[in-house]
Amino acid sequence: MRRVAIGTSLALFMLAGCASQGEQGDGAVYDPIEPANRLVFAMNDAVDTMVLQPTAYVYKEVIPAPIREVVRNFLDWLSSPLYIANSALQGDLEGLEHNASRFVANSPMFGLVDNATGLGLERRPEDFGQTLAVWGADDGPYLVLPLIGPSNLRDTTGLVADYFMDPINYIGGDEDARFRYQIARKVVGAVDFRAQNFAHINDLKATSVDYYARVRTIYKQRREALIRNNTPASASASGAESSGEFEEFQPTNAPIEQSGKRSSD
Amino acid sequence: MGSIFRAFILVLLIAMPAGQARSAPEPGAFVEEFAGKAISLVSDKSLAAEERRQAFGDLVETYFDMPAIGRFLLGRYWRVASDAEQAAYLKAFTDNIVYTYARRFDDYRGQKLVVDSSREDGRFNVVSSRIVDPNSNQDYRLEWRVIDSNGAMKIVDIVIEGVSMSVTQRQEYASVIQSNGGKVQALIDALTRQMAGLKSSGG
Repeated sequence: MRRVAIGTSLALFMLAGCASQGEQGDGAVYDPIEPANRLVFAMNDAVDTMVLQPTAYVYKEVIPAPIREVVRNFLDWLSSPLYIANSALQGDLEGLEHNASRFVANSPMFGLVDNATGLGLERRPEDFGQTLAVWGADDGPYLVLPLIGPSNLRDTTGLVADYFMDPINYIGGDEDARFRYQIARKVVGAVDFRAQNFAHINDLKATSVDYYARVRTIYKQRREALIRNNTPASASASGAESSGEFEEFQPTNAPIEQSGKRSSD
Repeated sequence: MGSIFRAFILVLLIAMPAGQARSAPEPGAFVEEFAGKAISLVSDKSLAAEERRQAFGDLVETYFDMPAIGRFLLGRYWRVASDAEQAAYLKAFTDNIVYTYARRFDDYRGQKLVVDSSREDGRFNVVSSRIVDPNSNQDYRLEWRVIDSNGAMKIVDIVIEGVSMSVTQRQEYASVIQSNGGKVQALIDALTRQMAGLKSSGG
């Protein structure tokens, strides 16, 4: 199975490599098909308003918090093989040990109870999109996927690869049942995520002047943080990189002749 | 700025036990001092919503370099804008930030801000901290970008779980201006409209 997965991912990886054009400087997201993305985004937003948000609300109000915690733990545990495999593929031995230890610590209870976090082993999700980034692939163009949401070519490639890498696909003979299981897992995951961030997401929407653009940049920044495993940017990138866009920041009481020149770009 | 973050922030604002303030101009202490004042403000139930918002606005003006943040968020469009537009934008932006943050004050549930460390990053200091929630075992990582310019320390950005609020807002503003033919006035109108919408919905 491993061979199939790697073969698939390599093919997709090359695809991502061809299409990646880098970004347009100043932290902007490369979004060549913005009109199409905005359309899908609007449809996803409608689904959120009409279906996901009400469902998440009921879930949040009806199911007690400890049970929701169990659901979240279990979903995370189901993804353990992917976390472990991707840590290994990234050559991240520390992450491999971390995720393998989490798996061992949580498996006696089938992942229903997250003992590992209490032992100082926090959740550390890894996916093939992150692996591709570690291997040097650029984000590629920003994509909004129907129902799934914000992504980019690299991470979409990763989603497909992760699907084939998941050992659940190689257990049992009933293909339909496996497919239904995968869908159910994603749906429950989406409802749980929406419920967990209920007020935050509503607020994100209510206070934005361009919700699409806001989500687009948040997605990019969040993925970059995950790829770095939440370590500071300066540790992985070259020193100058860490301030990023702030290079041009001019405090109010700085000498005036500088602030005029430096902020031009 | 970003609202997810906003919520956390409030939280933080809220989070430090008061009385940690020190006079030493050390970035970590500076952040703690701000958080301590913000938390005691949020915890002060004797204030009416409007008074509290006013006091929060003053606090933000003291600890954040708002005019410089505003210029930074506008990026290259700052110099395209007329003087009148610049002034109108700075006012709309500052009101918007203060209002949208202050509306989440009631969400405060006893979270604390713990400052872990501080590192130099070019001209800036980056203070690493965590929001610790008594009702959850999950901490949020939060970084504060602080600049010391001619002896005056100011906060210029907050990064929550890797997402910078200044960068987020900057990209969002740029998108609004770009889709309106490069007109800064369009952003000012959008900010004003959005505030009016929030106020009328009682947010």
